[in-house]
Amino acid sequence: MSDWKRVCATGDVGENEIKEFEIDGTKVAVARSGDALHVYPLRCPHMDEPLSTGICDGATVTCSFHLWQWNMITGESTGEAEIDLLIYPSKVEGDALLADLEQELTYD
Amino acid sequence: MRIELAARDGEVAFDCDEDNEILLAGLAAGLGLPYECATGTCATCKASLENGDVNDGWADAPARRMLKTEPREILMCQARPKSDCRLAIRGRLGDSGGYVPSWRSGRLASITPLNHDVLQLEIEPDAPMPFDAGQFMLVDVPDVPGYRGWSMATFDPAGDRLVFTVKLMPGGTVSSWLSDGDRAGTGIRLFGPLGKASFRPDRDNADLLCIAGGSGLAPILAILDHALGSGHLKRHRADIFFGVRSYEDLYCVGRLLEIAAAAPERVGLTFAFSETMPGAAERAALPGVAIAEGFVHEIMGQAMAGRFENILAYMAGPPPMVEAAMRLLVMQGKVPPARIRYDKFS
Repeated sequence: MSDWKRVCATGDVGENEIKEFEIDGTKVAVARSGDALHVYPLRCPHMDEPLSTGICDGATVTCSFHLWQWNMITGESTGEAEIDLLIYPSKVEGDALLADLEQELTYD
Repeated sequence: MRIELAARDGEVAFDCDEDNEILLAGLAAGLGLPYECATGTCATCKASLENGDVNDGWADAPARRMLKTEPREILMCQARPKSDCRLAIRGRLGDSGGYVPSWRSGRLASITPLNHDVLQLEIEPDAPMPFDAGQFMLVDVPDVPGYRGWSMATFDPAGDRLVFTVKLMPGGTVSSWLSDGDRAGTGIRLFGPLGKASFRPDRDNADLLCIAGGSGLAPILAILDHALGSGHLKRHRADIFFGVRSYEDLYCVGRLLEIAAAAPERVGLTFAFSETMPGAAERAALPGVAIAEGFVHEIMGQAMAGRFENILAYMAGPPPMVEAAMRLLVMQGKVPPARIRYDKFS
């Protein structure tokens, strides 16, 4: 089963931005690479820092706490990160970004 | 008491008595426990308490806001055990690397004002405390609760003499203690060395980018001291950026000028003034120094544009400056995180 929920408008997250959104109690971070948007669990798998305080350059997401880095499209670690980033399935319909939040993604 | 600690990559156990902080006991046992500030501000040493009970220590530790209550999380740098404890951390146990820290007694040998609000303190430990350039000690000042993390401001490979620079804070407990009579000769306890933002010329074969703000110059001075003394600056560049509000906030300028003069073609020295630019007479006292107006991280970004490749960056200073410089290095400089070194004190 899928549970597609509207996360934000596609224009809400600009180039090199990573922002926090909360949908029915589920907190996510949304970042942009070119035309694509990516939806991650809000908290860094390392020490729970919100990724929305991190750094996004269109290719890499960096947590600002201990500089763990991931490929923002695949979620794979690109450096010191010991745990890959989880990514919610997402799609764009009209000007809305939707994510499948049927199951909350966690690192535990 | 016995402390068992489960990490992502295994389990360790060590002893800690009820008067000791769990983090410090583990580090002194040679374990690579996670930490940065070791003084309750950064939360890097947080752990869940799965079993047992602890005295939480400093109730107002800033990092406490980042702890969960269910399951109960503690700051290992503050917590002292009331019983045997079982803890779990999210990450891996690091490589303890370098010197194993320990407690030592020492004597505050001298106090020297460097400018209107920075003092130089010299502490002689009763046994050598060797350290890597860039590291810090926890200092237990008599009659002042908690410990202060002070970086060594010179490099002394023997560890016989520890020099610190301390900024006086109006109303601060340590500042009040230092101002209250002649404290030279007082006994002071130290725990260290601590900190991962260190420089070792045999390991760190790279050009250095050093960014210091306000009271953060000390570890940068120790790194430069060692870079000069070890011959590193015969082979590598050092670009040094020191940010202050105005000329009167500068200190240790003579030492910076000496370092720059020793390798003038490979050392770039820039002072950034965020509030008041120095006048002509003041500039004349800073020969060879590039003077710039603005925040030090911004000045650094402009001056270093196109030169970030293969540098090793060290940063120390007020947390907002360190954060801004870190973002600039990652975003603009594409500097890999392993080449960005700082100890988080917030």
